[in-house]
Amino acid sequence: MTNETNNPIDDEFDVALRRVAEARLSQSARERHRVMLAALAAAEPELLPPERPLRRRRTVLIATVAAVLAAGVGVGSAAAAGAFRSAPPTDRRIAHCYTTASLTDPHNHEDFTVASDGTNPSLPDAASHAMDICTGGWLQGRYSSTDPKVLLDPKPAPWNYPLPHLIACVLPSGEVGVFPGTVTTCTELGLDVAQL
Amino acid sequence: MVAMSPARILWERAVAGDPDAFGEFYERHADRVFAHCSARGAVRADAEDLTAEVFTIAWRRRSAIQLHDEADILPWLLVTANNLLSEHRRSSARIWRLAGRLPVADEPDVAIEIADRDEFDRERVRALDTLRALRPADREVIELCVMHGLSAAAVAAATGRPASTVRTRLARALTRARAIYGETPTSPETIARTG
Repeated sequence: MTNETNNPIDDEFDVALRRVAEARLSQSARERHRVMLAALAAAEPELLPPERPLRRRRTVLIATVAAVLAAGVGVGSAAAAGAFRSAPPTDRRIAHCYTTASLTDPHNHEDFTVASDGTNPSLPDAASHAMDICTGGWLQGRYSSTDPKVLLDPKPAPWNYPLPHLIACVLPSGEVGVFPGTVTTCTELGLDVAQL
Repeated sequence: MVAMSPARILWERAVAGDPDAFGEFYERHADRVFAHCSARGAVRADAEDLTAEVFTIAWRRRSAIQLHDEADILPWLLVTANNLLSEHRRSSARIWRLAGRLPVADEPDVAIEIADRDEFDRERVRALDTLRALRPADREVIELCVMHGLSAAAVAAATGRPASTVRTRLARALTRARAIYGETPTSPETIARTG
């Protein structure tokens, strides 16, 4: 919508501006974004606050215990039974995605950091994004339950490779490790469930 | 009974949590959001990251987003992009880099592309120089209404201002912008640094 005038410079200005709006995202960026949005949607059922209805998603269920803790749902009975212990990570700068529930395999995980979110440039918070990032790796097929080795590159699209239940634990280093499994996986590894 | 438009139905599905419906909105508008971020000076990698962040916020806040009757989320996306861009200037690093976890193709920055095409893009760059010379509110209304072709009503809904205010501001802003545009030379340095 523009004001009509008889000045040729006006048309020129409007046309030039509309050309600015013609820039296009690269295909690789689109594909990355689609994977991230799919990961967000997949992770959502466990992140919803309790007053909203939980939608059932058959293939994807991510055990974000931190979200459950925050919502105060179901923790009482589990904690009372001594089923698991939870703790916040003490080092949030680095986090790790594991392909298997093992702390001894040198090839079953990769480490990542994230850039600052702008609120505290001195302390990039990898822990908060660990679930999203690890979920993306599984959906891309870089992590697999049949081969613990982490692939450097994604498998071919579409990126909807099997996504197991994931659980975030606090490693002995105080950093977050995201494993395939449930809260008992953390316990079996001698770790606390991470309060993200 | 008033029937809902297809766009409204699609948005309702997205709000209900249908990722495919939300994906439709991504496919429709991702380029526009990217172009908007690029026009505001973000280099390609940052503009891509910001685009992802805008849609991430849209997904997380979708139930709270009030759409104009046209059921077009683009105005909301662009206004959100502007807010992020303001923050971006304070911290250029974005979480959506994902620490290199996701594949990144080697692609040139917008600034380099523009420099390569300067013979073709002088007017485009001049228009961007003009926008930069405007007051923020004037710039925003021109971007939304002229660059992206949104209606005053849609912009009003996204910005929370009355439509009449948007129209008035647009008219004044265009007068200023066109005066600046008519006087603005385009130097090679300007072309090289513009994204």
